[in-house]
Amino acid sequence: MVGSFDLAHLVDDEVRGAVGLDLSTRLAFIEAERDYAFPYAQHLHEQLERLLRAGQGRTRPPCRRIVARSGMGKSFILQQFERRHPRVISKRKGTQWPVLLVEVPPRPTPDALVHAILSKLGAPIPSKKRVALQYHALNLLRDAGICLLIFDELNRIRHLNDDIAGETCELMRWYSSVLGVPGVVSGGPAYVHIFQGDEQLGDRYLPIEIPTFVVDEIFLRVVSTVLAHIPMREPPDEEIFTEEGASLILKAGGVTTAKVVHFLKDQAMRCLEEHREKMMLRDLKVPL
Amino acid sequence: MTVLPIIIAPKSGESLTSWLDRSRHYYGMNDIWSFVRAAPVSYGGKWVGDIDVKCPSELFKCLAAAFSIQKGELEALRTSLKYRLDPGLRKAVCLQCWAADMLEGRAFYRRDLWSFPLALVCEHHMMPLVDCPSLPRSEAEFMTLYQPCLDRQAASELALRNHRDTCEILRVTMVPRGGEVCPEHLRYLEEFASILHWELRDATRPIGTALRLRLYDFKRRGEFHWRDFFGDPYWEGGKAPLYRHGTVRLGRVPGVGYRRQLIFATLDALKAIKHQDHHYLGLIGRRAEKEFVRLLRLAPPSVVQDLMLVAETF
Repeated sequence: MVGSFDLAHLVDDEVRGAVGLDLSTRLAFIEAERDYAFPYAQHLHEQLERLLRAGQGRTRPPCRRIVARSGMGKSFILQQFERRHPRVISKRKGTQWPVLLVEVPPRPTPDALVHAILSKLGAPIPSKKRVALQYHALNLLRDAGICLLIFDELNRIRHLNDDIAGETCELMRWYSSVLGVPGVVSGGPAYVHIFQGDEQLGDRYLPIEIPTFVVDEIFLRVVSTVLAHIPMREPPDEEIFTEEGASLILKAGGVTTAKVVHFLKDQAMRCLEEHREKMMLRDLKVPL
Repeated sequence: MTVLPIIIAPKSGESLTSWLDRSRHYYGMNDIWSFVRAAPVSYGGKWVGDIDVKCPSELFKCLAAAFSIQKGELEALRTSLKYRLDPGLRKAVCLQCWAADMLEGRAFYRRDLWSFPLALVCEHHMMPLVDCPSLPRSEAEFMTLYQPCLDRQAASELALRNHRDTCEILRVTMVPRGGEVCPEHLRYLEEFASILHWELRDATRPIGTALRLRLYDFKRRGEFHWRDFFGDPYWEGGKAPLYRHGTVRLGRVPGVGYRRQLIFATLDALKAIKHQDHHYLGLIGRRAEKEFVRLLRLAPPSVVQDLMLVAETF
């Protein structure tokens, strides 16, 4: 309780505590990045955990390709997963680095990919020829005890011609196969045709698709979750959680997580600036 | 700062260059300097000729951060490495130590004790040190390069026994009469050899190599003992000095300190640098004397007392 307001509509004490803060702090609180633990994110975490448990030394390690439009929170989820499994460096036991998340470079040729791996590992990059460098990175990955190899932003592969793009994807599969560890690739739909056009890659990397939002129960839960993280004294208008409200949000905000969250935050901040503590459906404005 | 993904920890008694060489090899870099210049070590300081002897503290800081090792642990490497040969002469190794490394699954590495100017034998195996310029990177390489040497040593039992006997003599004669092996004496001699090496750095043959090879040569023939270092070129009674490769005795000679006598005796004994006869009376000494006095001031009183004791005993 803050004053005479019942704050049961807010998700936790941290958000409830923020209600009593001054306006600028509340606005900053709203703008901050946070984990909403959406159901699809939890599902993806479970899938990744299962892959991680598969461990090293597999003859045919299970691999997945995550496909979703930009703004669905893939990178956020993967980074969060990586943070949950940090590396441990010990002089006696050696390095244990369970999850390696590599963001592929803007032009992900095989050479650039190897450089990205070495850079992510924090190793110096020697001047070696291509094959020697690939094996060098392989040895480092093996010694680091990698159990799950993730490549993010693979949609950047669209800047390459199909042959080079195929080589890059093949290199990812090679690392996964030789190390015997599961591999995950992630990105927008732009890279899917490479995997669909290659039988080996397509069979090995099974798809996990995250669809964009439509007006349904899942989307309403997403809206409800986001609003529960916004410190307003009064609960949002019930009209927002109707089919009409959902349609308006999708139309005004967008169909991806980032856009929906951004739209709702924007509206909330506008309400607070106008000294309103309750978000109403009729007040939601479609941006120009 | 980023930490290296795999930590190559320094081994017990390993020299700094050996450790960095192993690390740079693991990370595929061409040389130590390109390794320390590159991320994540990212040392931006000035170039140093011999990092074993005068490694900048900034480099220690960078290495400690990149290897996630305590800075003090690294600096301990430096403090134990004051008197050493030039980097180019640090090639002496004990093959038995490397064989033990191989059997116990350790990486091959150079011990700092092998790089002292008067280090002739391995303290653990009592085997003569041999020159091996390259550090083997794998067991296969070691077997290919150095197994023949080990086989030769093992095949010649007599030679092996002679080696061991010589080494035993070396150890025994290091001991002042009735005393025990004193590491401080060894260190003291190392200091002298280091000074000699520095003074004669312009000689045509590297003095470090000359010292080691000639000493070993004499020792193998049974013609050299540590006590040969100690003698008096101004033998009382006007007798001819007992030169058997420079067997002289230190004495209380006015104007000629023990240190200079020792240097003279050493140079005579070795006959390795005769062409510098006209130099060492005049040039050796002044700078070395200052260095020696500085070292002596730094040394604990017990070392100074031991020095006098040794000089008088022999």
